[in-house]
Amino acid sequence: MKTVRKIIPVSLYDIPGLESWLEEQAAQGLFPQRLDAWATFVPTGVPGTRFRLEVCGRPGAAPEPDRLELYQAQGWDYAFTVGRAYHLFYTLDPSAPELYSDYESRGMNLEQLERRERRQRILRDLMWAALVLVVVLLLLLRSRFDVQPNSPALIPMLLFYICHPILLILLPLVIFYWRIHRRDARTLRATCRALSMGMPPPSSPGPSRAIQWENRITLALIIPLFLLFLGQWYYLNRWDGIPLSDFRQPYVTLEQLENEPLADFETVAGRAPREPENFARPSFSFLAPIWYEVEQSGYSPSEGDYHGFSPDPEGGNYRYSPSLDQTRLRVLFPALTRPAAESFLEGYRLLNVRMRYEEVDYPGLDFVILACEEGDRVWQLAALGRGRDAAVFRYAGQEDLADHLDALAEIILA
Amino acid sequence: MGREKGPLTEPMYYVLMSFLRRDMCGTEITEFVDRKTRGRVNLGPGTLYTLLARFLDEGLIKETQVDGRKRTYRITPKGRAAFQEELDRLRACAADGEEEFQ
Repeated sequence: MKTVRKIIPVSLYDIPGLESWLEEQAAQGLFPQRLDAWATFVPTGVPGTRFRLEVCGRPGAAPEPDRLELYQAQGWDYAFTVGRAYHLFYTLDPSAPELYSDYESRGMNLEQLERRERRQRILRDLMWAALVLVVVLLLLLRSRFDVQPNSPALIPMLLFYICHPILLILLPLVIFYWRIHRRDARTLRATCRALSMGMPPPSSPGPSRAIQWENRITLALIIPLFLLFLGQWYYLNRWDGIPLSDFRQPYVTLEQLENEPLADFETVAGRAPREPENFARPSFSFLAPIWYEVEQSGYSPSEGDYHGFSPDPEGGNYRYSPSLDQTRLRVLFPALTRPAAESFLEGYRLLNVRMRYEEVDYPGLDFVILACEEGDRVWQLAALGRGRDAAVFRYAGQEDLADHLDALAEIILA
Repeated sequence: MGREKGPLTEPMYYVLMSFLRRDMCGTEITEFVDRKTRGRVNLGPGTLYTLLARFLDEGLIKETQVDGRKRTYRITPKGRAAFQEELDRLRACAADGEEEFQ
């Protein structure tokens, strides 16, 4: 049977408005089949049909058999459940009594929905407050183990994450949805209050072009959001990254830095590593159209005294196993390059390791920042940039990054 | 001890009254109220269902039988006390009105 889809022009909490809109559709020969993000109708509507929405006793549950019996005895039939909130009943019989013969009992029925809505709202508000608090705390609080705190340096990196297309769609969608929900909740509260005092509900705002546009925009935002999620999942293959054998973007390999031969974990240990190793994770931000991270670990094939691994030979007691993490960025504006590089450099810093920073010149690059651990010199960081391009590295091993600037610079200069 | 949530509304009063002599199911309650009030109080099915759920919740009635889709209810001592309380209140209201009106 042919179906007709329509954007619902009424708030879902404007019950009289929604009921009369359905009655208008019936007058045009349309009978509702589904009401969710949009309304679906079939052309079997009969003019004069009355529709009434009843709050579900339990969210989303079908109406109880005794309720159906009672309603049918009075001429009302069940159509379907709307979302998790309502049961839709209808009657073609003009003499069928109204479902509610007094305002108070109607108010009691709606109270359940209002209570449910209030609980959800409080929970949602608490969740947002907690999220904001966590972000603020992450930026403001310093760990007692942090020997060189510099939280403000992380702000550019945070902006890069915020300017991810998924977040940029999700955030306005959430704000938009929150605004609509607040208004609808006000309508529901006002209706409940009036009914519980035995007064008629406030007049329905009814169908409006504004609500129709709100619903259109929400739908329009949800579709690209879904596609982006799907695309991101497909592009990453799986959430733990792309194996380096399948990754085509340029990166510095661990072997380029090491003089010692290296093998992967499986080769030396005879089993797969617990956590994935040697993978790339592409990302995207409107502030950084090219952005990917590569993580690598290697293991010396020669046996150590103990069957353990360390980025440091530690006097030959452990098997030598260096690691190299790197982030490659092409930012939107050249002015962002250095703050971004410094931010990712800060992101790579280990909290309990004191680093010594120095800036060196390298032909063809705008800046080169090197940092190495004071004392042991196991952990080293490097940030390089030119124009809109930057690369940031974190290395743990026995080599000196300053001796390998040619290899590091190559992915920017190439 | 009757109901704690204030006076009964008119439909509440008649629904509770319907159980005083015997157990009742939904359609019997509607017929009883219609007969008793000579059609003055027209009990909608939504109103009746909501009130039965509320009374069950408050312990004023209890379910006695489920026969297919038909459920039968009985008034509890708490329900009788609530009805008595409401009756006394209405008597007092009527008496006050009569007294002033003459």
